[in-house]
Amino acid sequence: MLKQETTTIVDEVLESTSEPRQSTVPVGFVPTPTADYREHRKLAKVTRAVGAPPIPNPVPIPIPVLVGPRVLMWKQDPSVAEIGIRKAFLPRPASSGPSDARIKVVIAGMTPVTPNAMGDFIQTPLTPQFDAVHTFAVVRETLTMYQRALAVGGVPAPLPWQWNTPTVADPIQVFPRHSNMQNAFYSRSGRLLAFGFFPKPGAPNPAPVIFTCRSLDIVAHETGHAVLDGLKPNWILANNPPQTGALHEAFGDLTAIFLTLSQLDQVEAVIAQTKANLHNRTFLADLAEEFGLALGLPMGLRNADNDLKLSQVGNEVHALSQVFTGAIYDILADIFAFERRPALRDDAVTLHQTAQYVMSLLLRAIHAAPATGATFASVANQMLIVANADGKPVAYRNFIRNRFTVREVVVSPTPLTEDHRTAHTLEAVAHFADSMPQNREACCGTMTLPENNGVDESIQAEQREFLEQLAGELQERKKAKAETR
Amino acid sequence: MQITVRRTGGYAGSQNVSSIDTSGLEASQRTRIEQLVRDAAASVRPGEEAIGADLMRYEITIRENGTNRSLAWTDDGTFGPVKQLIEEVQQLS
Repeated sequence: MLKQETTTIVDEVLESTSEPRQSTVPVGFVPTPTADYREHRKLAKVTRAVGAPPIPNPVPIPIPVLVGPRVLMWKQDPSVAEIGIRKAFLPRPASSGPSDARIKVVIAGMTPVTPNAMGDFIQTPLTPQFDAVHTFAVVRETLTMYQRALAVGGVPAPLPWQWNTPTVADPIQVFPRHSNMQNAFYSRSGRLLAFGFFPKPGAPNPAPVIFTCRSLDIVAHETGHAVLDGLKPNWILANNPPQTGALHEAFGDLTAIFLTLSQLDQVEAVIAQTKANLHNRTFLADLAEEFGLALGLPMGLRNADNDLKLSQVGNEVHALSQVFTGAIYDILADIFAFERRPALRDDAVTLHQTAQYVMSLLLRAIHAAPATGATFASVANQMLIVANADGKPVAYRNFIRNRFTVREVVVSPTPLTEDHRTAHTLEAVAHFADSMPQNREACCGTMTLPENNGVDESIQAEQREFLEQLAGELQERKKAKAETR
Repeated sequence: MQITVRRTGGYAGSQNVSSIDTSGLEASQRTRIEQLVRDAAASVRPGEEAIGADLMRYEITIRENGTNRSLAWTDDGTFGPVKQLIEEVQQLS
């Protein structure tokens, strides 16, 4: 049934992409409390039901509390027609905007999008309302992914934005249709994520308009910057070495890859597309496909499956970032190949679990890396420490060491054919750009209404909980500081 | 007055240069642009840079009476005279 509905959604959206916009959502798209939908259900029941009507269950079953909305969103972006649009469930309360305790979506001149009577945000593809919902969903999923990765004792990490304090819980403002520009950015000063739109360069008039907010990769990338800025507030400053700036960019691109691999249907699509070899051509490694196509780059704006070495790039942060992104992608592919047991379990299960682990490994390594001036080598060494502490096979550490060595990031004290020894800290390879300032110039070519149903109260409660978590963290830090004195 | 706007940075990192000569504009348009230049110059504080990622940076060079002066500005999503000037130059060039 779900598969049939999904197929119908994809078919209908694919048809819709050739039109400038659809005026209505097909009635069978998603449950809605309308007469049309009830009629559709009755008809479907008559035509599809088999046998006698179901007997009511005599055992009382508690009705689960629905806390979050369902949304419709692009899987990658409108250009990746193979996977199209999907339904997603966000397991947290969301209010009109959409917005929640941490994220507020704003489109100038547009009334905030309100959920339908079932609390869902179902909008027509290619409309500003759909863009608002899609962008909110990607930002929310990214933040949730990292909160889970740093969870302690079954409680997700608060992961505050850089400006959040025990008294300031301001959300990040998200502008899916910020302005006419070939860009998307994160601004700490503005406490916002901005996504531009622009007419496709070189296309005959009227040129189709590219909306950067429709790209999961771009939205996840910018959200990654915001998450990392909360974790490592000094890394974003321009007075850091080029590699620190490049770590920020790589984290953004890797966030898009990890978010894709956190979604089971996308993992299955990757396995089918690559025959379980992540080095085969896949949409997973292509970053910002539609944006790239608009600029004449068929493999995406950047590609994570690259072979760049440190000596082949300069001090421009996006170019430099590809070395780190490529190394992590290789490590992901290596660990996946190592863990594959196709005779015993589906490759998609293995890839999903491997990606979640590598994401957690990288995040914890970054958390443990220096507060300022971090280098690729400092994060690589922390990955070795964390993988060892997790009790992972030595092969994991070998993959990490070998990939960073081959890319000329570190020097291994032992041949790459020998196992990594825990005592070995890898020395960084000197790079001509180490003493140069960062260059950020060019690139690699690079719901009832919520106020009536308790959602608003729920969001306020989440905000209070968030502030309490922040106050708790602050106390722990003070305590730790006092103990070290 | 010759105004050149050079744009760098951003998510895609594309570079772009736009230029106009106000002498070729209608009087009212010229007056408005030249006022925007003065407002933009007054609003930019040297050494104060927006903090963020994938921000676009602009270098505006103004050539007038044989002398050059330049303004550096980072677009962090705020709207003001510099942004307005950039948009005008890009549209007119």
